Amino acid sequence: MTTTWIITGATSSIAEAFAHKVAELGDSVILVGRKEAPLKPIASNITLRYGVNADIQLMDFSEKNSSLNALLETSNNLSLFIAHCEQVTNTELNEKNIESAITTNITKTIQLIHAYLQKPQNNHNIIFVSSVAGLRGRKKNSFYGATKRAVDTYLEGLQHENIQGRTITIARLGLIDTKTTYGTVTFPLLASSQKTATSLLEAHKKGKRMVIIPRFWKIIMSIIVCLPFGIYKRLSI
Amino acid sequence: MVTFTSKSLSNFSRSAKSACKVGRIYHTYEIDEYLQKNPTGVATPRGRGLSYNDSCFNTDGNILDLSKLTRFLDWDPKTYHISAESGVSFNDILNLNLSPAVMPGTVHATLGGAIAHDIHGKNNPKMGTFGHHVQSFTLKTHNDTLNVSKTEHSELFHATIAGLGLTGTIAEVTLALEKRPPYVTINESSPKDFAALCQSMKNHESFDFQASWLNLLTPEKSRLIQANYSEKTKQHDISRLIKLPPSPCNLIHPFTMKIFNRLYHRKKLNNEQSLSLKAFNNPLDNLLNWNTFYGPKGLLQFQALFPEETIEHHLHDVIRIINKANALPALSVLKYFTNAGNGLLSFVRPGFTLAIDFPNHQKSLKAIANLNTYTLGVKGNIYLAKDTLLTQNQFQQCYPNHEKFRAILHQLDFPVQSDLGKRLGLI
Repeated sequence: MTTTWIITGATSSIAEAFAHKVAELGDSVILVGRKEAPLKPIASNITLRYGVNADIQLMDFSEKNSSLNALLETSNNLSLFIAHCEQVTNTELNEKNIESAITTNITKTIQLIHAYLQKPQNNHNIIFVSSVAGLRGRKKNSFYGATKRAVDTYLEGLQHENIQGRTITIARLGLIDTKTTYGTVTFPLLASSQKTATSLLEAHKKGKRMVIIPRFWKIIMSIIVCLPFGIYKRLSI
Repeated sequence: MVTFTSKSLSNFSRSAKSACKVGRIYHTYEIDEYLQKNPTGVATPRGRGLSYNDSCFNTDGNILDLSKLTRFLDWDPKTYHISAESGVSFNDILNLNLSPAVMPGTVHATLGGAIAHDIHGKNNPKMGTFGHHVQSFTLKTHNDTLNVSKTEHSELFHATIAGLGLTGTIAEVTLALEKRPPYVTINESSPKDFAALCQSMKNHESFDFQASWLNLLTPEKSRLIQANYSEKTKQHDISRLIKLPPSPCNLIHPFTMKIFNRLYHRKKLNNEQSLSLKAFNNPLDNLLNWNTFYGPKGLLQFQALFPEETIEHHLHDVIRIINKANALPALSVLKYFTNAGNGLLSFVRPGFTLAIDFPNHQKSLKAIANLNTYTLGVKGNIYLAKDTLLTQNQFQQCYPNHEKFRAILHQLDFPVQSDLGKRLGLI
């Protein structure tokens, strides 16, 4: 049965690639972003390639008063792919962007998930694009990691409810080849956005509640998480 | 903000490398951001780098990688006009079950690259060159975004077609497509010699497409392939990708070429065989990594245009020059042109075009240099998309519109830089 995916952060490489994957299977998409200009070509491309509806909804998740109703006011069977986020390193933090990142990454995200789950439909599908940065506080971006972990934990509680017809996948991503990492990360094994999107969809279709992509990051993070702090603090990662 | 990172780039031939700083563009507005922050910015636009030349290199300079601009924007089923970002490939169009009117040697080339070289296909007498089907494009220069067409900024339109990417960054393209679906029926023949082959090619009216695979050592073993559009039937072969492992060494030797030619000659002549347009027009695209068979030093290609009246004579002279240099030609293809390209620096004029692949080594370089000299001597032309050896002087001999083109570039305060632009003295 087809569904309509609400895809937030739709101008990001991973979200756009995911939109292609589901459109290829016949699902419609609602692309959510702050500005119309970059969203329009993404939407037209999906419709022309796959013959499915691709609508646009403008939303700024950093605005506390932004209304989520418009996103959810449709009679279609909706699914939720959450890829919007504000990325900020610890060295960039100030009062304003702390509040903004918390609003975008935590407040509005959880409000969206909560409102979506109140929507009466037989099945609820959520994919949350999280980060391995949430698994341990890292000096570079522990604040960002904390905002992702906050939502991870909230979603884990929803998974604990074990409600029939509800599939929630928390996808913790390692380093992916995107606009954010291009030219700034010298890690040799960056996964492509397309492969990441394929893995995300596959994991969700299999009903996986938690997945780390790419898979080898599971080993890396297992080691990092288990390291005694005395050793961890000496690593320049 | 566009981030630049140092990379070593190559092209399809793999015969040259260029150390550049590459900035990747994900959305067209990022080109504007780059140009606004760098008002004198002269980054070279690059699609997938599938030409054989240095138009996609800017050694020690900046490159704008446009290969992520792969979005379709609009489609009009009445006019068959399609609009797309400049990184969209011919393969993307074929995947919509639509037919580009003119297709280059690889379906993975981008629309922007196709404009930059005014590519041609196997159907020039019927359909001209790629530039004939370009309706308009958006061109981003250092201080403006222009909508360019035959009627708006007409001079810039004809300068950008075959303009080697030097007039600015093409962001979006509107193209007229062929209305017939991408399927053909082919017929093959083996004319007795070059004279018979070329005469058959001149009688092109009955065919939508034609090209010849030449055996330069044994002319009677050459093969003429002619095709017409047809409706899709169950018999239509869908192209299957054969993933060859990349070769670590050069496999092109006299011994291997003899075996290849013998096997190819033994292959039955196809008659009334149904193929997809991609399988017919771009058979090498189905052999992943075929260009690695020339080894880590890559391949070189000589492609020239010769007058049709004396073509057999030129074919024999080409063989003589290759033999004298002791070079080994690999694949050779002959096509026939009647319609000149509509760009100031378009390669295509009426005549025959001959393309020959060589493994990259000294004998091949000597052969190609001598072939270039010969071609200029007989008032022929060299295809810039395949060439890396032409000097500025030789370029000016083959391209009489070079001064007009340079004058247009000078009107742009900061034209695009590229290694080819410097080599040919255009910038």
